[in-house]
Amino acid sequence: MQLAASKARPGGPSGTRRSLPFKVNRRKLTETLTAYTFLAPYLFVLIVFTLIAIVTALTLSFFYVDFGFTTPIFYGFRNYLNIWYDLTHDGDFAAGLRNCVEYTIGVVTLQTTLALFLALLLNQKVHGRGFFRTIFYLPSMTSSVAISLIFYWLYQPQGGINYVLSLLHIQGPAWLENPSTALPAIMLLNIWTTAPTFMLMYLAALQDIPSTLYEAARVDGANSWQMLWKITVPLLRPTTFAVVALGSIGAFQMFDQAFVMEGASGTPLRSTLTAAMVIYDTAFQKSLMGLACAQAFVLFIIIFAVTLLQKRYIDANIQY
Amino acid sequence: MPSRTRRRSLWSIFIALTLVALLTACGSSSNSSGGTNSGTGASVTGPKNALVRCPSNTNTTAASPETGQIHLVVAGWSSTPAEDALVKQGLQNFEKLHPNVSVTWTPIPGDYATKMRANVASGNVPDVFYLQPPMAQEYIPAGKLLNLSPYMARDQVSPSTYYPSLMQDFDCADGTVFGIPKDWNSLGLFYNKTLFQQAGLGDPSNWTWDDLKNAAQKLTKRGSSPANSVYGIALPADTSRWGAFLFANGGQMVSADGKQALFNSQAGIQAAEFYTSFKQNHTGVMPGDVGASWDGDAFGKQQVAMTLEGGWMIPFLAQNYPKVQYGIAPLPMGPSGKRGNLLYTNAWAAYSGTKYPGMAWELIKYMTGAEYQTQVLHDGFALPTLTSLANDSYFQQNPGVKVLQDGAAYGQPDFYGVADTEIHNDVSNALQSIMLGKQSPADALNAAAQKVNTWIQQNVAP
Repeated sequence: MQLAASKARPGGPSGTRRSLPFKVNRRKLTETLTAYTFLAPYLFVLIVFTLIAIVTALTLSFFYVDFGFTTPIFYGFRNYLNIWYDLTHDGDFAAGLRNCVEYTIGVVTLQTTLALFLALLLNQKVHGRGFFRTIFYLPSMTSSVAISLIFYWLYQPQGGINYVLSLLHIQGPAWLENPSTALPAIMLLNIWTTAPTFMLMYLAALQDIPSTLYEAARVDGANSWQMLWKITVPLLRPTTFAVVALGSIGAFQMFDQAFVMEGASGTPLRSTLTAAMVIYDTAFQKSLMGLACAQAFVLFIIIFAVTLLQKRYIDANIQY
Repeated sequence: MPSRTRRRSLWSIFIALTLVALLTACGSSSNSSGGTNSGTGASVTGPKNALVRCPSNTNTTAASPETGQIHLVVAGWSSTPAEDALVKQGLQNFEKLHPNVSVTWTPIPGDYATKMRANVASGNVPDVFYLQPPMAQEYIPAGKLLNLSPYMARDQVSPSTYYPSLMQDFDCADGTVFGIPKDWNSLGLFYNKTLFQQAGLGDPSNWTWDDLKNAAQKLTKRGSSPANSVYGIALPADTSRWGAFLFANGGQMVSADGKQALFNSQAGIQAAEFYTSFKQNHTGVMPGDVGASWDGDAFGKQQVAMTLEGGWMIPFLAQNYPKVQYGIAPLPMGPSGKRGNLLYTNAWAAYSGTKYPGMAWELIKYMTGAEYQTQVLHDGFALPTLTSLANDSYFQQNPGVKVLQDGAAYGQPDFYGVADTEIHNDVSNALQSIMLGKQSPADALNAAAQKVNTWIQQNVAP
């Protein structure tokens, strides 16, 4: 607005200056400078900690780098070829990515459904709505490490969950020791902690849907089920895209829960090893910074591609 | 989403550090040979360690202790408050001996090796610090450590006053010494005396593998669920336990230069069969099976009658499970009558760029000398590295500790060279895979060996 206004305004009082083409530009320059001055702190952080860091990581991925002990050696695409070998020979990174895909599908599907369900519930005019909103949101505010430690106890063979099962005369498994239950156990924990954040996003979006649409539908004789599927869900698509995309990005990068509950090697049998844990291990345990950077870029490209696909298929602009 | 923010901050730290690493990597090969040379330039050597290359450039003389006000920064970790107190006491005593020196003890919590790597990358390295074997193989070839051989020659500290199997990890290929073991531990068979009595079992000191197997059978009393059962032995799927069986069976983990996996030999497969048979026969468990976080926990809760652990169990049991009556026996002999054991040790080392190499050496000499090593032993915290303390009176009062100390004679370090981390991970996974019945011992170990060998081919710097 400001910029447009200054452009439209005629030149200054001085006639001689009017012929100079700098008059307008100088003002524009001042405003641009002001804008950048205000942006400077953020830009500084962005450039130093994001842009330079990304470029450095990309550069390092073509080197053999061991964190300050020897001079880096140019490796060409060798790191990427090693990753390709890893992916085609069931290596650790392949196992990590496989777990990530499984984990992402499970977590995103369930947490999106749960978040929508909770949001629809809390969007009703029920008694004590504020109380429930707070209670449901609490898990999201707690430190993930603290929650992981609590769940670690709950999942123990003689822990809380198996105790409840034993009251129903069911012998619960050793959740975190069994390769087939360990990852789902962490999925449940993650769904429980992140669904409320997305519930909040859905709640906000639900408020934005004009009530006139529902009134019109009701006049046309639509039942609640039809209104949900024909009005609410389609109109929530932009939000659903945000929820699914953010959820997938978070799930693909899962690290702390598995790290706390199962340790760095992703026991049992690599079933809880995630791509981020492999990157951590490569960089910090094995001191192969170059390879770790290459792995990080592969992970980035996968997340980027997945997000683009989601954008393509979910974020359609629906208008009535 | 806390996981995302955490990841991102980790990333920015890591990237900032790599930047620094790149910047410093080129200009940081200066070695301190500062201080006045009072030595003759003579040198002593310890056991030759083919796993670690010697640095191309290092100090060849010994500096005399610096005079004037000196400030030394000393780094390590403290696993328990007791350890912390012990180290502090030792450093204070050192300060009393050298009134011109003040020492700052800065224990690093969390991942010590990673934090130290960052310190090295940024050139901000403590003068004297704990050195783990995997760190040694990175620090020594890069010339980051003070060469201690000239100092040992000057002060007549012979490498042979320390157990060679402990010295080895901190020497390079020609035997030059860069670190002196600060304390150590080995494995023993911890057995529950009460449960042994009930099962009618005697002293396990001269057991063979077969005896161990039969005893586990007798000791196991299975109830309706793991929670109300007692098992013979707790054995985790862990390379750092199985290795003792591999060695007892005459096997090897890696070739002498660390570049070829050898654990999938016939001896290895046999050792893996034996080690995992307890879990398969339900006479043994992994600690997690009975809801324990580690062996010591399962043993303390008396859900297992035996386990293989080291000296750290003694204070742990005394503090958490004082009622458990237990003994410590040597690990059982393999089929050919041979014993195997794993040695865990860390060293004191000094930074090659320290301003006070002479005084740094004095500190190392004190902390690895008879006075402090005796304190280490008497505190019951760990074992002393000096062979001269092998007949200390403490051992008569604590025969179990004597058993652990004897491990130095026949044990090998739990460190396997360039692929150490990879070997520990892959072999542990293989053991777990066998225990869970997913793979046969031969298949699991062959796959792990192939993985290790590929890893070495791909990732060991040319």
